[in-house]
Amino acid sequence: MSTPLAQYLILSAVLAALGIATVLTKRNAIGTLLGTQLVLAAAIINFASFEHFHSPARAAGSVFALVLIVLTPVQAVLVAALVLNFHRQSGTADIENASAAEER
Amino acid sequence: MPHLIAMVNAHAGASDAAAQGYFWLSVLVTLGGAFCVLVSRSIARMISGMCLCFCGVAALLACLGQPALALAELLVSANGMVVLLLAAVAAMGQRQGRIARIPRGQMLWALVLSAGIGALLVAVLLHVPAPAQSPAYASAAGGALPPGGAGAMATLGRALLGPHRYLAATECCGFLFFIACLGGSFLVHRRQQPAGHGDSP
Repeated sequence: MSTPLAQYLILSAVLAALGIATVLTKRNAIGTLLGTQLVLAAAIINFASFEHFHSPARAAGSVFALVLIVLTPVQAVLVAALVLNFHRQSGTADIENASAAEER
Repeated sequence: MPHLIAMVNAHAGASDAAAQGYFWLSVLVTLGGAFCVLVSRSIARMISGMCLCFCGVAALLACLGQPALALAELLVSANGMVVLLLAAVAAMGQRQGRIARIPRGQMLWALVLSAGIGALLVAVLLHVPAPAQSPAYASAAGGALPPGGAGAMATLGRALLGPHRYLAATECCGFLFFIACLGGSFLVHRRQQPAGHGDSP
């Protein structure tokens, strides 16, 4: 008895919902980044599970999952650079203060 | 190793129960890490929760017969992103003089411990056969595949180098990611322009 596809899909849906909730509730830029990473993790699970259960011979899901896995630290590099730059100017990483700091 | 594989094949019923337990443990770790990211206010706790979540996703990928992707998730996503974000947070704190200098001995022990844990994870992923090895992989490769993810690795290699030609697209993505990393380092090293620079008198 192996684990059915539906359980993986439900798990990835819950993970994506938690990621969206994190993006919507966090004021910190790094918290928002971590929320998008949760959504990406849900997409990786979806790619791998659909490939495992539906088209294991083509391995297209693995390729896309690999690209998403590499995308994760690249996104972190860009957001960390932006946050450091913003923190250098305004002294905070709070993204709700970004427009106020820009007006100053 | 062959004895272990033979034992696993002989006790198929027991391995099914173990696979189910492994799956639910991975789900628990993944969702626990994600919930920790959602509810915690401290950045360090959020990053720890994210690391836990990535470990759970890697375990799920191993559950799906993709140990190569699981390794990539652990080594690239979990380690790379978490170390990078912790460095960014430390840099922000250091500018405000909040972070004390770490003693050299403590740093050495931390490096040795993290390298040991990483080596242990790699050894476990490479030497333990995947619990839910799909029979579809075996039929796609025309027979029984060696356990431990070698079949999935071969399928991934065929997808990259075979007639589907995913290699060019993957290389293009890698080049774009490289340019994005260069842009990020340029942003960090850019000096702040003095006030009034470029303004009309």
